[in-house]
Amino acid sequence: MHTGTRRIRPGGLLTIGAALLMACCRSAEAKAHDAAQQLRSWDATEVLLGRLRAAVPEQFAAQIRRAAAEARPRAEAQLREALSP
Amino acid sequence: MSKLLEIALGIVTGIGGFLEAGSLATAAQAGAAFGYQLAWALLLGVVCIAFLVEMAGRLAAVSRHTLPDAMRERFGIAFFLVPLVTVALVSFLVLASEVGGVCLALQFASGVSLRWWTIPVVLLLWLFLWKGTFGLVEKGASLLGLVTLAFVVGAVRLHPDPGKLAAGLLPSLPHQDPASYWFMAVSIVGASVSPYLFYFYSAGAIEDEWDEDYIPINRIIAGLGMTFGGGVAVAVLVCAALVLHPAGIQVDRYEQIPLLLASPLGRAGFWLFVASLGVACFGAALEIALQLAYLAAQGFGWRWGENLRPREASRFALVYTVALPLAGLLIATGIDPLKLTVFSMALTALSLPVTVVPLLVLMNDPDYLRERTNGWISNTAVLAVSVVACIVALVAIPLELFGS
Repeated sequence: MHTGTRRIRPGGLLTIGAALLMACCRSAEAKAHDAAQQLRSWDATEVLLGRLRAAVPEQFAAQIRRAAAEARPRAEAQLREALSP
Repeated sequence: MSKLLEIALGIVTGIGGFLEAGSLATAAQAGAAFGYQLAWALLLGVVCIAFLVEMAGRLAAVSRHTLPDAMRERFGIAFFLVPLVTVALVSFLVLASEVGGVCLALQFASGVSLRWWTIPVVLLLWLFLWKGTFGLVEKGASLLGLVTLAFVVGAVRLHPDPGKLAAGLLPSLPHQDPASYWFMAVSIVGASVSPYLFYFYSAGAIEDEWDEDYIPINRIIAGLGMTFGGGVAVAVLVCAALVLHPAGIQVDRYEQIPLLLASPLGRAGFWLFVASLGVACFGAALEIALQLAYLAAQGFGWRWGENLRPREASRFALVYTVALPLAGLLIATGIDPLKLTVFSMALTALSLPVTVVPLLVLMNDPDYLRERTNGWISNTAVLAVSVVACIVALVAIPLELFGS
């Protein structure tokens, strides 16, 4: 069994550091893109739900609408924050 | 039981038991966001888990050791604690995801919030383990899991383009959003190569008293069972790629996923989705809770066996008795089940070297496997997938966590 001192190699540290740095420095443009995509996705979900109205029970359709209503304000806030100077 | 029947039952178990919250959610997310482009990650995961399951069965049949038992004996208790804690943590998170999956299926069916379902679901799971036998957990749940074949029917009815699907089986670089792409790729691999699958399989081989005569059967069950099971996950990806992707829907919540079966199969599709989610997650939750008990009992040398009465293996029963309510508690706190599922899968990929490398060392040790040690193909395939998945997860997890 290996009993030597445990060390993180410099390569491993660099990889983790680079990933964290890239993550923290994510551009506002990318964040705005994500938020806009989320809003479009929920719009598309409601359109598809409308097309499949006969295929899903009403109580489930209400669950999707509720999920969309919860997700939209968060995405809108993220979009506003990303677009603010 | 005739060997042929055992093989058939083993393959059916592989098919019915493959799909669970992780493979369902990651395949649906990947298909919705990238169409067929991430099918290669599923293929990679399926090949890797087929090798790992075969190895775990062979180890049990030849050495009559379960995986934790052999690891503790071969490496000593101090080293064994590392994979023990890693597998236990990852499996606990996956268990919580599965409990969440069952509760969500009940929420979709009834309209009653999933939080209200956690206590009845945890109680029912515990009752199954307390009163049931290994055969009931393994075969019963997997046979019911055949309802997940509805995804294959749905995929066929959507008429996928075989050429495009085949092209997706070859790894390719993403056209957009590389962070999400690689995060999803490792989540898919993590969902396919969950350690609970091969740890549970190894314990099952001992429960079923396998010997070396079972090695050919083990190979067929591992190969065909996992391949056909993986086919069900590919069907989920195909449905998402043909229903959600063209509509521009990305899967941010579980509520969006039933639409991928409601579209090709109508109202029956919606109910088949609910049944698939509920049954698949219920079966997986039983297996994972049991695997946590196996892991602790085999690792610490306690008496164990699902076919024993709880009073005959009290510490073994205590482990699942504690794990199930804790998993339920995590869901009841209101954590997003989809996020929990996908991150559990990515963490599984990250932990793969810790869980897989000790198994590979054992599989190449003639003291355990005699003349049945691993060949270079299985060693290389499993090691390569585990290490690459871990490195990609190391980069993709922080990107996904802090990036969005």
